[in-house]
Amino acid sequence: MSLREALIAALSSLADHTLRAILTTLGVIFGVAAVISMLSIGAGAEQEALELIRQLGVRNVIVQTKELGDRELAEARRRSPGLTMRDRQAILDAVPGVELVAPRAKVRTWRVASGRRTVDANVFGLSDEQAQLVEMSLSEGRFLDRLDVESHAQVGVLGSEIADELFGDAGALGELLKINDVWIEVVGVLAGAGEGEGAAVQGVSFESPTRSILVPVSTALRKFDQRPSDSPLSELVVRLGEGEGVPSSQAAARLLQSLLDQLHSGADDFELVVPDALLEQSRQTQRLFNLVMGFIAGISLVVGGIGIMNIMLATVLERTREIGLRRAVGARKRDIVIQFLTESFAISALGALLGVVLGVVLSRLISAAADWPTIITAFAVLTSVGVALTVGVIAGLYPALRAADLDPVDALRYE
Amino acid sequence: MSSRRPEIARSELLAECCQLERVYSQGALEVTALGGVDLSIQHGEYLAIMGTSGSGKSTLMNILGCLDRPTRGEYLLTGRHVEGMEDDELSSLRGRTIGFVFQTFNLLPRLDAVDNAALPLIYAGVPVKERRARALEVLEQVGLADRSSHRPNELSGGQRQRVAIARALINRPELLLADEPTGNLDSKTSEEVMELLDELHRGGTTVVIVTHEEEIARHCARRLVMRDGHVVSDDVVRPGSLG
Repeated sequence: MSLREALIAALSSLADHTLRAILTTLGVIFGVAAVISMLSIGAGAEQEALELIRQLGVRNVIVQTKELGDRELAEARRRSPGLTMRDRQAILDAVPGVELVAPRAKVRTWRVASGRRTVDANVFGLSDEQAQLVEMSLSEGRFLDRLDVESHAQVGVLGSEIADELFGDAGALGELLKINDVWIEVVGVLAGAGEGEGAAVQGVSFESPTRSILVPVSTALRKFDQRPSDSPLSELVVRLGEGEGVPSSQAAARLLQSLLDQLHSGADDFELVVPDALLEQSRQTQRLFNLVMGFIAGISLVVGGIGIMNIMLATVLERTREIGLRRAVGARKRDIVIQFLTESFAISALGALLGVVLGVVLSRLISAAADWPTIITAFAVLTSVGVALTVGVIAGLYPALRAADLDPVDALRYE
Repeated sequence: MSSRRPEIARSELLAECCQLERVYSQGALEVTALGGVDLSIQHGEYLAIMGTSGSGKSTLMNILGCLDRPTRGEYLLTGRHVEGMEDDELSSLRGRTIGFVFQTFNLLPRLDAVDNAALPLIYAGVPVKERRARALEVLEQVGLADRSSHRPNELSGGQRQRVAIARALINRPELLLADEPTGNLDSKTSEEVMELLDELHRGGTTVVIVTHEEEIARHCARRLVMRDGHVVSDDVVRPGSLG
């Protein structure tokens, strides 16, 4: 009997017991669906994390102001004023391989307005280096330049939403707006390609650029009131160069740590974010997640395999006379083994197929319901289907061998 | 129906048993089903093996049909020793040299008459296209050409047994073994089935029928009676019909 024929026979035998076949294969269906949907969530999360980490820049090390409680803050401020432009200069001078250090200050606002219109905006003080760090695409005007920073110019670049809300279709360029009690002239508007909402990965948050107003960092420090306990800068992004003699981002982080410890007299008021390390960490988390999910899905597939074996043993018993007859008309043991193996293979293949469909549907549903990105990888589909088919064949092996080993005389006489 | 075997084979013995013994072990207990049976069957014979239940007639039939192996003794089929054969060789022998007809027909309920009749061809390695043609041919031979696409549950008992006979004939066997072929049929249908077997015998097929019914045995030219695992009589009733 050719394999093709055996497969056709197996499928027609399954078609005779459709409900039973589907019930039998439920374990495999759920196993495969679980593997595919879980891995799709994992892959989606990983891609999102990688994307955010890439936005941070793998050649960057970020020095952030640490969020502290009142008492800790008071303790820290006794020794250190927080992150300052002095730290920036020190890093440029002392750490080898640093290409640039981009400062960022967060301005506390109580009112952002133009005429009678007011908006909620995040106001940041940045330097011209920001444009080297992240590509700034502007829909009109220009970005902040060095002169703005050096002259504490009262100029600003608006996020697209802010520009729209304050000035509408009239065009924001050259218009004035008032942040707290400081007049700012609009010199540029960012292109509206923002993500819409902010995002966060591993403790690093991204504010939406569309709702931001960017002013020169010097202006932010000089012309806006700050609370004495606030750190002047919220973060310093240290970009490392490429080539010989440039320390790895992890080594640079160690240098930064000791340098800033010295400058801050040991005050624990900053923390370092190393995207490169985050990347590695994210990958490790992902591996662990996949391992756990794979294990759970594997158990489900094993249970599915037991289900198949169970039904195959029942089938063999049910068809004992058929086996005897086939042996009487010339079937070898091998032919009987192939017949039943093909059938268990067909059951698991059916399960795998339905499992893939269910897995894709589940993954879409999860995506829609929980708003998580999911990615169905070829790896997940091939692995789960491969394992399911293997389980099917292994589960069918024992019943098939038992069928083949039946004594033809006894089998024919079986009632 | 024309004779399909060359004349030269007719003078040779088809089957030869020498001191056949078959002992079953049931735990510590040993049950002797056959206690030394000698038997020769020539090509073209029409033989009835008779006996009460437990006489060993079915055991003998299973050994003749290569479904079972003797515990001791020799069995030669078409000149070849069967007792030492590998399982695969036995399968091949069953498929090509022997045709079985059972009391309970043993048709596969999912298959129609053609596919049931063609079943042995699957294992004889006959290409799919040829199978159907040959199955239709044997179904015509047993008078069921018009029922070829019916499943067993759509056929009467007699028709089912005819399909089973067609299946037994499809590989042109040397030896047709029928185990109580009319046991599940009424007397009228039984007579029809026996007429079909008579006809096959007249066409040159060697037919061995296991039965306990006098009515059935009457059709046969030679009658073997068994009791307690031994042959108690072996009579040629109609010498003229021997090959």
